[in-house]
Amino acid sequence: MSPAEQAEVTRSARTGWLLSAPALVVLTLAAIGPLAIVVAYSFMPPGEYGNVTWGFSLEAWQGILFTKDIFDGSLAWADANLRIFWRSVKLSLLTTVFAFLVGFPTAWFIATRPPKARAMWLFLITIPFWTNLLIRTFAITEIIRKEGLLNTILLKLQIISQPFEMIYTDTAVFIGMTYVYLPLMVLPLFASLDRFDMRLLEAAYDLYANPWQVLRKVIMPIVKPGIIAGSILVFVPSLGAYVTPRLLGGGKNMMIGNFIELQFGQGRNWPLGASLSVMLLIIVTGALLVYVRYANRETRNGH
Amino acid sequence: MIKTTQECAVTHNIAVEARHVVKAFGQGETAVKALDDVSVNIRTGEFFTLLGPSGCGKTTLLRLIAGFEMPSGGTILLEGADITTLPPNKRPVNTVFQSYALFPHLTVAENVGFGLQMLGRPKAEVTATTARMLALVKLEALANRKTSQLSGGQQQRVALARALAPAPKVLLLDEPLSALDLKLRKEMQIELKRLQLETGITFIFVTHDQEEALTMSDRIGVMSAGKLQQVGSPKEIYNHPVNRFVASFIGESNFLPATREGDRYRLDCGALIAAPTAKADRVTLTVRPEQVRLAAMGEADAIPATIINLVYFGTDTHCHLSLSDGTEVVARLQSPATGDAGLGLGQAVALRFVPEAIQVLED
Repeated sequence: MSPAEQAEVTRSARTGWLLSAPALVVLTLAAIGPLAIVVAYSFMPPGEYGNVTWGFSLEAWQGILFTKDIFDGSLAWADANLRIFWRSVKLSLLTTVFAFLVGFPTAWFIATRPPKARAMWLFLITIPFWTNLLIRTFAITEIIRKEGLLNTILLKLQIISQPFEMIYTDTAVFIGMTYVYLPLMVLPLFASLDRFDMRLLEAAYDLYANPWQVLRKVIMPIVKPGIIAGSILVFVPSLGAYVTPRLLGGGKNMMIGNFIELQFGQGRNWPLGASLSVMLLIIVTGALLVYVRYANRETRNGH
Repeated sequence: MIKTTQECAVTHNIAVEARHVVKAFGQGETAVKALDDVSVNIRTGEFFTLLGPSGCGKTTLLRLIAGFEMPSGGTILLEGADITTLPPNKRPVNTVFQSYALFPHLTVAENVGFGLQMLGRPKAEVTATTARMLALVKLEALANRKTSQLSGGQQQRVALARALAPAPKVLLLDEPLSALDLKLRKEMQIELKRLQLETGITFIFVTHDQEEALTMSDRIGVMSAGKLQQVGSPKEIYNHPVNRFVASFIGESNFLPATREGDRYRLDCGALIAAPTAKADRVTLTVRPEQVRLAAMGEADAIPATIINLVYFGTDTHCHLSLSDGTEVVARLQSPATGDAGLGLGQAVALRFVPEAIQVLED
């Protein structure tokens, strides 16, 4: 290569990225722009009829944890807010764990089918995505409401004498979210299991591992990337879920998503909504960092 | 009392016994019999090789002994105890897999210690045995590497150490050398033999490579079409094959159809040959190429033939000869010091078989 050619290559490598500038600009504006606005709003005082007024205020951040007494202005723990946060985290964790317990055998089943059947099963897993989430959630309502399908069948079979009060409870929200996010657990788990060398199972059995040890000591550590990916894909949207808790949890069993919506709507407290949103972002990021670091440390030790 | 002791010395202890083992894959009409009534005794402490072409059922037999498959019929005994229905993790038998099947998430040392760990042995024992096994296969320096960072030969050694670490009663080896290149394969053959002698463990080795089987084994079981054709020492198998399959699969052989005439055999080309007499009248005589000699015309038992091809191999020359009835015979002649045996295509010569080397096959 002549020096001239060399210079040409260096120059194009140095300036070539400029070609992707339009995409970079759009991405920057779309990703960082709204986030910056939300962060800015969280540090402003609320306007009278929603919106914000110009100025600086930490009240919205204070409002996450404390409520100010209207009369003497003293601060008290905002029990309701904390309950909503706790419920969100608890239901999201439960959903993630349960989705894994159901999703792992499902993914294993698909991964051990013949290649042709595998494609068919994967296709079936994705079918729920074809229907609008709202409609699917209403369908669940039909099943679990007091006079719904489940109660009718159980009553007819005389398994129960009183209908289950399931709808508008945390259980209903949990069932709904597990149903909605299950495919997001199954797909990455399948991707991991699909690459898993089944001959290792024979090697493990041959070396005196019982079925439980095969699962714990061989399969789980090797498919761990799939488990991590699936857990993140289920946990993150669960934490911010809006439609499912709204329809299945009724008005009182709110999750963070509903609470945030409330601030921007009826509550007319945009800064509080904004600070809650940023708080949610911080919780998710923190949880992911802890989780990924914990998972990686385990991998390094090899146990 | 003394007599009993002597008897014990003669009768070998049996490590693995297969009794009338049948394994069929598939159902009803389409079922394929991978093993068809196989019975074999494998002695304690011996290097036993199952030899046969691919699809002969040798790997299936190994997998039945390991417990990965259940037989359709028959029983398998380990040191006299029936293990036919035991799962693999309950059998004191370990396997070296063709693909090695090393655990990718564990280090070399953790791979080797896996079996002992699963058996719930104390940590100190696991560490000590792992170190001893790694020394045995000369991999101490790589103990903390991930298995993916090793070469094929090194992975092979890890697989061996891993299978030997729990001190199994029998070690099963499923074509473990087939993935290695020729030079490494030769090294590992010697290595395997050394390990077997040092540990004293019974080895059951599966291969389709007849040379590997001949050089390493104490005894060989030759398999074909789901049946055990012959069991014997390498010398017995090579020098006294019981049928045409064994004679042609192990080494090269010449086959000459012949008819009995009194205590001698008349070849189809007309020549009369002395050989151990068999019951059947119509037989096949078999002679190894290295037991065929060129003779002077008119010598006793000399058979006239024509040279149709000469292939030079360096140490020896393969001389393809045609008898008067068209039967082809190969003679392996040691190359003379000058390199030129004075033979040419189309030349008329006479050949002679070493009398003791002629085997009679009744099939």
